Amino acid sequence: MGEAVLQSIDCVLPDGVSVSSLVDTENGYISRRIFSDTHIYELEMDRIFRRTWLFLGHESEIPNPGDHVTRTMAGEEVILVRGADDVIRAFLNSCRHRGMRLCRTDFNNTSHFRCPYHGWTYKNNGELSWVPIMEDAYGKDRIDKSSWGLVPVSQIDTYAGMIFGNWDSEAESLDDFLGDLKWYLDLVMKRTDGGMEVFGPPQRWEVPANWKFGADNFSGDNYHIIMTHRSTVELGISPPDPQFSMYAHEISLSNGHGINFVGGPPDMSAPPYLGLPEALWPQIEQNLNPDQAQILKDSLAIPGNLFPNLALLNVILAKDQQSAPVPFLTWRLWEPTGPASMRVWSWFFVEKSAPEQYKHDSYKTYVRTFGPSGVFEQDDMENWIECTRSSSGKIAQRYPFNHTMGIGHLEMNDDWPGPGEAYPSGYTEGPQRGFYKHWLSLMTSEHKSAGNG
Amino acid sequence: MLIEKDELRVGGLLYASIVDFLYREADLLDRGNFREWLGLCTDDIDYRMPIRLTCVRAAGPGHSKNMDYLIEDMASLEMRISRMESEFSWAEDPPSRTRHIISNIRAEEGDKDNEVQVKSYFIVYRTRGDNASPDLFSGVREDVLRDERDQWKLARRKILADHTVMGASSLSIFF
Repeated sequence: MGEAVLQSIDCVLPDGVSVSSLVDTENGYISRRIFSDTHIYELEMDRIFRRTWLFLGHESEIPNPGDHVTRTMAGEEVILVRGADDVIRAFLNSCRHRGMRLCRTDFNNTSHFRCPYHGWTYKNNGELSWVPIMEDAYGKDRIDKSSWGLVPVSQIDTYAGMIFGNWDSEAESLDDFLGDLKWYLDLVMKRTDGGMEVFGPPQRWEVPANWKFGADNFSGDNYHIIMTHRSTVELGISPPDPQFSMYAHEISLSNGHGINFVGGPPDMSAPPYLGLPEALWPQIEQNLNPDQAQILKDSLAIPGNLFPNLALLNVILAKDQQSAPVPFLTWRLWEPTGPASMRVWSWFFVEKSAPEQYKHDSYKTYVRTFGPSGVFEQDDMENWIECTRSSSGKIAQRYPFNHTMGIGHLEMNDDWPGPGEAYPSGYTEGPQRGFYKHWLSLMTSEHKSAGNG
Repeated sequence: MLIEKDELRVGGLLYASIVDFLYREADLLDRGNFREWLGLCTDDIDYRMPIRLTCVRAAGPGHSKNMDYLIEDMASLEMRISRMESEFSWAEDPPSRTRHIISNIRAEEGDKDNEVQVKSYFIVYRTRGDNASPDLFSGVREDVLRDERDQWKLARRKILADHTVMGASSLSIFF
């Protein structure tokens, strides 16, 4: 696919305020307005969600031909399906005749999608294969079936088994979009033989908060651990020094991606490789290069956010006050459903080659700490809901958020062995500023149309 | 206590004691007496709430075998309750207000001599802060109650909710 040709066009909101005036990443001021404004939300749907790569699911969710799940891209439902030919595709979940929703389940397996309204039937590769009583109803050869197939998502691609879709046929490739993040994705998703696989379907829950609070937090907010998650320190299921998350590197990457590697103070003993079972260490050392392996070896937590709205957390925690800590991996989507609401989808992943008992321990640790009942996640939601609530007031909107952490006093670490801009502290907002910078660049740009000079 | 099938029917003596247990349990939860509630659980309590998916009728009710909202034992329930006693438990401080409406209670003999299987419908209203619209959860609980020294205790609970997407921002309450 070609490079998107974007030209800079600032957008002026109905009250005369320009979008570019709402975000100042150089100095670290972000307007509250972008977290609640309806026009901003609509512009995001247009300039971000219909133009970037969006996470659809993982290959391990649809392992067999005919398997399909329903997912959403920029507010429109799509069918993510593995065809009879084993090719993964995605289509608008809508019959071409009258728009009836074809798949009304969360998952199923089928060779053909049959519309409940008039019976138009599509193969699971999207081709319209049968129109009932076609000749009598429409006349001979009046319907060219080849032009009435399901609307395909313009681009589909996978990386490390993760399936992404893009409505924009002119957008850069997934490979280019991920860029240097791939080096870190390998560290998380490809470190063991066979990589990671999902363990069960995603949990889904609705939160009256703007999606960007989730993206912001997972991009690089290690600062909130001391207060938001202090209860877990008291319980002993988090490291004992709540300031442990300061000992980290925060990495800003191009295209608004951010990832963090949190270690812990030097005097804190921590198991290597996030506490993954020793049986997996030879695989890790085989599958990763020495720099990647060392970074993983020293990590206790790896939070991050893949632009725009896909976050990850690979972390070692305890599932209760008696058990030894065990690591787990979760990927989550902050699906925007309105300027002040989102639906969170949260997947639990585990190493395919890990011992069975470990998989179950990791799973329990995940459910009890993250997800809607998670003792960590509960408190994050509380924050983002109230922050969203205060973003809509006109008085409040006069006072931008402070995203200045790290500006002027924290130098990049040029010795960091991985790609991207690495800041040697968990207490910086570099990746967040990178997220908003990319957000702004998309919000203030448009495709050059063929007609323009 | 001697568990007899006839006494487990609606109106039977054992049935009445089971209803009393469930009402008492709901009352403790709604008054925030979680420690006392935990005392009504056996040491080997198995407490879970699978997620639910919309699937075709032929595929069954859609409760997942591989993913849960809650998957708890005594240690994790203890952990959750200790957390609520922390002054940093933001999601539950100020606390949620819950109302557990328990109904349609039916009991049967269990797999063991000292156990009974109990099913009860639930509607749980939950509000927080100044939110005038409650979170509303409904479903059925499939329980195993065990007679320990002539007192009922909760040994197993499977909470089968009626929703797929959770219409609440957190599940910081018990069912």
